[in-house]
Amino acid sequence: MDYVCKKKEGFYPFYLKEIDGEYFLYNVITNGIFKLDREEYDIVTKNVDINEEKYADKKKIFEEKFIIITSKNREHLEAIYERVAKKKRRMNATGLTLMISQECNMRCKYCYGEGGEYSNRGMMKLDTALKAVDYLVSHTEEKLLNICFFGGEPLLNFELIKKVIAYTKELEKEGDRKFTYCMTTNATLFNEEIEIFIKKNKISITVSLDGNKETNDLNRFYANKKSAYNDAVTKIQNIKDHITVRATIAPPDLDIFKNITYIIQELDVRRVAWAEADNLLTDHDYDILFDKTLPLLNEMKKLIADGNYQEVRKYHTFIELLKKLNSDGLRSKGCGSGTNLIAVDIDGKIYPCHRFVGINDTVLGNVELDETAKTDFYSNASLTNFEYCRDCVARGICGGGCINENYYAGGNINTPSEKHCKYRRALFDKVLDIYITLTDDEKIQLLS
Amino acid sequence: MKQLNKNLIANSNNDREPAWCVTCDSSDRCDSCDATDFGDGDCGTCDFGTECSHKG
Repeated sequence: MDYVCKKKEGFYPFYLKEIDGEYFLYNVITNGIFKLDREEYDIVTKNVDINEEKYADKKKIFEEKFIIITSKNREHLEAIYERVAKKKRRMNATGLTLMISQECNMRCKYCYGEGGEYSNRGMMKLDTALKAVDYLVSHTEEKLLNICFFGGEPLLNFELIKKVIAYTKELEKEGDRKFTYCMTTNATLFNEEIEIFIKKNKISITVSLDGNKETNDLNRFYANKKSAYNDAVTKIQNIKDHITVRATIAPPDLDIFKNITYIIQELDVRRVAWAEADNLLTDHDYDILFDKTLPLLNEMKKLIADGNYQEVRKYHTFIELLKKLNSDGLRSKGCGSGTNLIAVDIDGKIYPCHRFVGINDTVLGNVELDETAKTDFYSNASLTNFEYCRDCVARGICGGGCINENYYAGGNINTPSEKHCKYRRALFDKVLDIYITLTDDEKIQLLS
Repeated sequence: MKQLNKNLIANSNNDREPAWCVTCDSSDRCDSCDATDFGDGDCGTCDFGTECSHKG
C-alpha cells in the first residue's frame, strides 16, 4: 500500500484516515490532526468549492485550523519556520560526543565504526578531551551542556572519563555552565567502581543489546567471536533501573516483537529503544520487519487498553513517535547533527556527529587548532532542501531521517533511503491510527 | 472540526522562542540514535531526556 498525501488546490497537503466510520485529517505541513464531520470530509474529498457562500462558516474554520492556504497563514508559518530553522543554520552545540576509545573488545557485525576503530585505532588523550570540552564551552551560547562518552567501548578508557567529569565539575564552579553526561556501552566491563561512579555522577547509560542470547549472539560477540551476552546481562543487574537498552534491528532475526518485548519483560530494564540498521536491510527485510512490527504495536494497544501506562512508557521509541504527533508544529531537521551536536575523535577532529567519524569530507574543524571550518555543511540539511521528502506523509515525525544513513544510502545527506522511507511511512500510518484513538486521559498518562 | 493534538501553531507569536514545539528539533540527538541521552532515571517518570530543564 502507498501512503501518499492528498492535494487539493488551495489546501495544504493532507492525509486522510477513516476509523470506525469517522473521518480524520492529518496536515502534512503543520502536523495538525483533526476529526472531520461529514460535510468537512466532503469538502476536502469532493469537487467542492469552499468559496461558495454556503460554506462560509466552514471556510473560516479551515482557515483558523491552517487547513487551507491563505496569505496570512503562509506568512505565519513562514515566520515560525524561520525562527525554528534559524537556530539550526549555525553551530551552537549543546551536545558533545567524545570518542573516548576508538577501540572495542567486541566485533559486532553491524558496527559502522569498523570494529569501533573508525580506521584510526587508539585512545583519546586527556589533552584532546579537555580541549574538546573547552571548544564546546567557547563555541556555544547554551548553559546546559551534555557530554556523551562514546566509542568503540568507552569503558576501555574509564580513567579519562573520570578526569573529564572532574574537569567539567571545576568549570561548573567557575562559571554558569552545567553539564550532564551519557554513555553508550556494551556493559561487559562494568564493575563495582564503575557502577558507583555512574550513579554518583548521574551518567545516563545506554547498553547495546538486541534481545535474548540466541538473537544477540547472531550479531554481537567479543573480538574472539565468543558470546558476550551473559557477561553483559550479569553486569547490568545492579544498575538495570538506571539503564536504557538500545537494540539494533538487523538480519537475520527481524522479529522485533519478540526481541523488544523480551528486553522489557525478561531483562527488566528501565527502558528500551530501537533502530533499524538501514544499510543491512533489504526491501524484502523491511517487508518482514513491518509484518513483525504489527504485533508489537498491537501489544502497545493492549497495554494502553489495560491502563498499563507505566509499562508502555518503557517502550521509548514508540512513545517518542506518539509524542511527535502530540502537537502541531514545524520540523526543520531530523536531529541536531552538526548544529546542536558535534563529535570529537581521538585526533581532535570535529565531526557533525559520531557516525561521521573517519569520513574526512565531513570534518568541521579541529579542537587542537581551535579551528572551525565548513560550518555551513549542515545548513543544507534543512528539511526544505529534502526534495525527496516534500510530499511525504511521514515528514513531520521523521524530519528527513538520520543524515548519516542518508549519506551511506544515497551518497548525500539530503536523500533518504527509499526502502527505509517505505517502512517509516507504513509505521507512521499505524502509529497515527493509535494516536487518533487515544483518549485525552491516555494522552496525559502516556505523553505528559 | 476538532483538533486532536495540541494546537501550538495558531497560538504562537513572534515574541516567543520556538522551543515550544515537540517537533522543533530541541533534542540534540534523534530518539533512535545510539548516542542519545535517555536520562539516568532519577527524575521519577519524567522522560524528557535532553529536553529536560531540570537537570543540573
